[in-house]
Amino acid sequence: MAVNLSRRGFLQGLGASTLVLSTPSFVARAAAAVSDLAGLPIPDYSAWQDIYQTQWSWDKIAKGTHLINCWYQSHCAWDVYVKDGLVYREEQTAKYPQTNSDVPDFNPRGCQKGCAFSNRMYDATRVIHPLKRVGERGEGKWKRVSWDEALTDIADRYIDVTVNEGSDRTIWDIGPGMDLATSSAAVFRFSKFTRSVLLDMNTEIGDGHRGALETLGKISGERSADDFFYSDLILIWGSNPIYTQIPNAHFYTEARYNGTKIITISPDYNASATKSDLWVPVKPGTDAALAMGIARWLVEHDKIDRAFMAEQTDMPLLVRADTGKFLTEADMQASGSIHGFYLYDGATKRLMPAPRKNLNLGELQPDLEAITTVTVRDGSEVSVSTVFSLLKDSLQLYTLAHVSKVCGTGEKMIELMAQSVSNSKAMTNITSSSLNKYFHGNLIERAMILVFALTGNMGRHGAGYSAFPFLTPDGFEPFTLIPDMHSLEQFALQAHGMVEEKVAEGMTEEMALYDLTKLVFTTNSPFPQATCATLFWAVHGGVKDLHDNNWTPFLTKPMSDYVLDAVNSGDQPLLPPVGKTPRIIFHFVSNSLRRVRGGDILKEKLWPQLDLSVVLDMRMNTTAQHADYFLPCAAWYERNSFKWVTPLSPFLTATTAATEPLGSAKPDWEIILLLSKAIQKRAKERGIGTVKSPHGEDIALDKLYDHMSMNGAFGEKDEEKVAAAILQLSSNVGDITWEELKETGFARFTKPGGDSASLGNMTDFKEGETLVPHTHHVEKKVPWPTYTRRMQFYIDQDRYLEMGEALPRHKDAPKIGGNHPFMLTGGHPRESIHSTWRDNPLMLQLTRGEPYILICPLDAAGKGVEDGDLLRVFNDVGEFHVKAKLSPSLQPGQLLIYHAWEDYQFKKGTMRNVTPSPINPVELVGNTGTHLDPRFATGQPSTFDRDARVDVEKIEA
Amino acid sequence: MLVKRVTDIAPWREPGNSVWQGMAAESVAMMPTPVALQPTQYIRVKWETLPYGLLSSISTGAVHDGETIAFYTQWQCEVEHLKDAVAIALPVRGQPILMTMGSPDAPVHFLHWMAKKEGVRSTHSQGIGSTQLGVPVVADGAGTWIDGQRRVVITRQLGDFIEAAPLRPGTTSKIGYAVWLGANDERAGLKAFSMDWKPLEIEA
Amino acid sequence: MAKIKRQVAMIMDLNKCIGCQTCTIACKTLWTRRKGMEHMLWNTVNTNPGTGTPRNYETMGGGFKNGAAQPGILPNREDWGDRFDMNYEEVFYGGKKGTPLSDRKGDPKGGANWDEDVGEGDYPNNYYFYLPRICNHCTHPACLEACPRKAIEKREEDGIVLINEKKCRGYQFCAEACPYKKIYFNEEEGVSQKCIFCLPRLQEGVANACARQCPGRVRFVGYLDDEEGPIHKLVYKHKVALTLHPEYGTQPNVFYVPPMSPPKIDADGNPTDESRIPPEYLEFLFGPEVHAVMKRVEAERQKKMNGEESELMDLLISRKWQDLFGPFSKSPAEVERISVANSDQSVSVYDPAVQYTPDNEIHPIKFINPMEDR
Repeated sequence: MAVNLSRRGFLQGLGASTLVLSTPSFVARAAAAVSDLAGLPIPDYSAWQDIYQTQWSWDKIAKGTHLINCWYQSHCAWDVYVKDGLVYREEQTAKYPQTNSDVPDFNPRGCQKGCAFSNRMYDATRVIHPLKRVGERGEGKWKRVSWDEALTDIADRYIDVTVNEGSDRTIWDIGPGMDLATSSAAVFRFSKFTRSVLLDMNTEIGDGHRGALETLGKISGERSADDFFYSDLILIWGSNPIYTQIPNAHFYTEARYNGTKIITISPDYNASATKSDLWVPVKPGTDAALAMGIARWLVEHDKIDRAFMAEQTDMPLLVRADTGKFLTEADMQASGSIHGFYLYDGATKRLMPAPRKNLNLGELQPDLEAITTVTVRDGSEVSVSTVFSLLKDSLQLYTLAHVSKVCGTGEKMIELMAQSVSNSKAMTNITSSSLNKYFHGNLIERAMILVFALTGNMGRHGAGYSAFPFLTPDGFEPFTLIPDMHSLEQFALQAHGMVEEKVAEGMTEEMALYDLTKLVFTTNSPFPQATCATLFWAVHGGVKDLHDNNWTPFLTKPMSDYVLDAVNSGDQPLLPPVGKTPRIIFHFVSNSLRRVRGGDILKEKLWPQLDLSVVLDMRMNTTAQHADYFLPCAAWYERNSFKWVTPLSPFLTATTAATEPLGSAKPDWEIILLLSKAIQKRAKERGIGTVKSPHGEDIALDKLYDHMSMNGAFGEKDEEKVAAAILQLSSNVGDITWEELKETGFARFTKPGGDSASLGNMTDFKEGETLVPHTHHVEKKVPWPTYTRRMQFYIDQDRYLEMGEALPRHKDAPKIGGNHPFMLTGGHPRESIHSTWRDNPLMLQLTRGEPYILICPLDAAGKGVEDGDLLRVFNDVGEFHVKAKLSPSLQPGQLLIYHAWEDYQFKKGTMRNVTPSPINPVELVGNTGTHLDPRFATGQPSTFDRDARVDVEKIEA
Repeated sequence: MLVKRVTDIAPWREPGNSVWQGMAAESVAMMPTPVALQPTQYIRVKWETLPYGLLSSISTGAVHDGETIAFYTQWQCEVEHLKDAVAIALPVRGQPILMTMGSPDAPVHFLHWMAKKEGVRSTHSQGIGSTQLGVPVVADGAGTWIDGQRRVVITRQLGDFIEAAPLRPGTTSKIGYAVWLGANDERAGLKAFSMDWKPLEIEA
Repeated sequence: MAKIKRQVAMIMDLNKCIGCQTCTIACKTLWTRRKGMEHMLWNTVNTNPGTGTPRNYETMGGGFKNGAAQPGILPNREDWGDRFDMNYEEVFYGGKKGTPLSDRKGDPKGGANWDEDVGEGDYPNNYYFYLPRICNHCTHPACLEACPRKAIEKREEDGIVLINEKKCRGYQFCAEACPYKKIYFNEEEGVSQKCIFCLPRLQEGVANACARQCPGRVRFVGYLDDEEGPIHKLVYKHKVALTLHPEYGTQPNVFYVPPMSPPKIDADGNPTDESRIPPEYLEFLFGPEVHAVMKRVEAERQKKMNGEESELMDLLISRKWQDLFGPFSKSPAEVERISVANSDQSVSVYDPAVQYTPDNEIHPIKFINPMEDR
């Protein structure tokens, strides 16, 4: 740039404004010299970039993933970068293949939390040496001990409890750490050989999908995330996938560009609503009314798929007017089955048995509206009508005006949604696990599924209702259950035989597998020993003591009586039995004191009774603070394993040891094997051999390690070998070997496989096609695993009739926690999977650093509350203190606190203090001989924390 | 300014030491570097109406013991700030223009003391905007702030250095000063400076 | 200023950004992990409307008006959002039951993502979306022009704007002058630092970490002049990608596809024809062309809903993830970047009391280097 040398020109050239007049003369001299500057070359300083070049460098890359139950989001394949023997950072592998050219590919997956695990595994919460408590529980006074010292002491105390009180006094809390691979293999085998009790937590955490169980006979069944691309309408209902399905969310935003319409139904204008074409606000917990309103509209406008309803649902089945129960074969003939049902054939105008073996109607044309009279076995005349006609009657209530009043939603809005549903050719849902956290969540889900059934949206590309996604290598079960590898064939034959036996009795293969999982709750089974976590905490933890009050006036006896009746009668499982106190709890990457709704009652009632609380984890947390021992687990980049996934992303994903475990941390498998070794050693030293469980089972304490390790074939150092064996035994991941899996990091599942939850997808995985659940039911007409063998909307079990829940309907939530003006809702956060990242510095930096409760500005103003004020949140059960965050997304009367804050993140109390989670009596049924009976992961009571009633007041910080 | 010889340089290294109060200080008039000469439009526009470099004068002094020369500066600094700084300028060779910070043929060597750093930084300039790190010289700096007054002592080994000003007893050189008031966000060319070189007579 | 031969650019599709902050963490764990960089977020994602990060940056001046430099001010520490300094060891090992986890500097009053998901408006018509920002590597960079030491350069071969940290004296004129306030200061090193557009990665054909690691598939990376690439097509052919605050005068090279939103709800709870995000607000961010962009995108989407083809929609969908990155579609795993031995890699892990005695109430907490303590 040329510079004019005259003074004025110089000034102009520099674009300067007027100079001060008294500038000394040397300014002019200087000006002349400045002209030289323009020609000065910029020196070459490229060497400064070296530091950045160095930062993007590494010694090696290993495959890794995060063995945590992000569930709908799991799992993602990562490349883990290592420098100087430490993990440096991670970046997604992003090598997923495109399923076909129609749909977007899966890449890159991964989220901010996974991206921060390299930070998490080294942050201040990590524990890398075994710790023994030396002060009081919760004081935070620890002593570092050796593994030997810790395990020997634990072994001795375990032996004492087992011998003196019983094997069922030792409990395993197996939450997020449950991988159904090497960790679970260790714990499940331990339970199998010692009869110590695993807590089946799925319903306790609110993931029970009760309504799906009631309607579909199962909770499992999900499509692959790329299949949503085929939908023309997606209902985001009971989910916030923009928060909780980060790696899959792009499929939904891309589908929107592809012409898919997206409707979000939620009380607050949540993040998912912002990505939708229509947001339908509803008052929290009133979604059933909305669904019933849509159902009524569809029926009224005859926008229903009668053929689908006739074949796939219980709509044509006949119900007795006198008893309210299905008309059954037992009613009509001697030694008739109670599970044989009838329909009215419109073609022949006759009563006909409903098909059982297969849903194919053949020549039958069921009359959906039939109302008629039949003569039953004892000669009497009984009026019967179809489920559909009963449904139509019940739908009368759900006029647009009524629904609008209940839900707080505009009538035209409801109608618009109904029209969208009826115009859709392929409609899907995105429903995570929030609905079952409302007291009447089961009714909500039943009503939602009704909408899908009425329109025939099931079992097709881009069409269907999905509840619970699950997919796992099926080699886990055989590995876990066999005594040793030689017995594999025998085991397979035995298992096959058990299934065949049930199939011969008339079950489908799917039903048989579900039925077999009930055995985990019985004693003297070849399976590990499990029990219902909800009831465990309710009875032994004292949580049921919070429930006897006037919140649930429709009950005919106190809530705790329902609970005790259920466990004492054996309708629902409970170990140890009532009156027998648990003594030892092992928390295996599971944080019960943080998690169990009902607040601190566990610390008051149960913990003082415990001889031993042991935490096996990577990090200090609420439960660990109150433990007696902390056994440090290797972090996920420090060990070799994989974990169950879901059809949403149907790729088995492995993690490998990028580095050695830090300090003296050990892989999960190794810890459990060493524990069993210590038990075996101490048993021998103490002259203890085989002892009996309270239920007569043999427990060979002096051979525990031998049994666990299959006589040394899988010793404590053999975690990798276990992973390889499980993979080898699996039929549903193609031919891939463990060595190959370590290289690629992931492998696509080739079929659902033999594990019962995975089989529940009831579909084939086809090359080049996206995954669609329930095609076996819809295309191949395989019966649904309900007792009517159909999608079942009428439930004639006594408790359901008693509660008025035979059909789906809306029910107002009880005033849980007392008569208080706000409903405290919740959700899973964006920035943590349960508590796993909750107190990580990077995640805190990107939020407010501490818990907050959302309140709308209108309500806040009414309480004199400003953003950032400290609130006391309280109800009849308890209270806690938390900062307010004002959000115009919330509706008046709604409060929202996201889940999994650690207790120590609150200044006072904890959020669980106000959510006593009373049990819903319909979920306590058992011994019905139907799909409603408790079995692994479902059929057990849930806990509810999305509709507690609270009040708030501002307090000084 | 006359640089007197002293026998023991040790107390003179301390800016708070009363020895400096005892000696007659030279007052050096200062003026702000003209805003028009600020090297970029951004700086000119931003500081067009903002006052800077408003020190009308500073007090200076210097002594040496035959090996080390100690330069003292004191100025009114109401608010102590980490960005307070002073630089003494010495001509390397030729006839550099102080205001433009020298030229390629006549560079200027600076010893730059900053409140936020220990010691001094040696920098070398061939004109405005070209300052680079200078050659390592044996030099040091220390500063205090007492009652609204900054006092800084910059010491340097006497003698010749490549690309640094030669300073020898019995010779006369030149010295210039630049002061930045950190509380006023002064940095780079936004400073008060001593207009032109002052003679520096180093006693034999 | 040297003539730029080619210009790399980025497009961020705000219909896909889900505010997950993976980009923020990806950048952070790669670049801003040195001392003095704790508070730095070269990539930020903010909820808009909102104050942004740094807080209220849109009121801090800088940039150009009619070609003339505009004065700017610097955000303060609180505006930037600091890393919280939590008292973990006190909570876990301090020996006092019930110690809450808190920031040693006092309860936070602000942070980099403080107003997440708040937005503006009243229920049920509030609105918000997510706005990711990096340095815009402007064609007319205010930072480069403000630096008196010419410590900032714009590379000829790709237009990436870099601060030469050896030349930088930490004057921060650049930071004041940047109207987007994307230049941070490192107190430890005494220099200004900012996004380097992942230059070391681009040089190897690997896309920026923020782009490549984004699970939402929000970002396109490529050369503006590449007519076959999506960047050129979206900016010049379909004209649906706009710069943020074009009135700041720096000609950014980061573009945005503006966000759609569901309709407003009337007093009866029924949907109206009005989009929730006010057009005025979008215009405030992206300039008056935004209205035409919204119509264009909507029209093309409607084509898809009618079962017709749309090149624009297919471009935005980008079925093959690699297509987002043009010539930068390599995976880092394909590149050999063996590190220098004895890098500055180290971590600190708490090692609670090695030995506790009843007299010793306070436990010595020490930081250990895991490499030494095997």
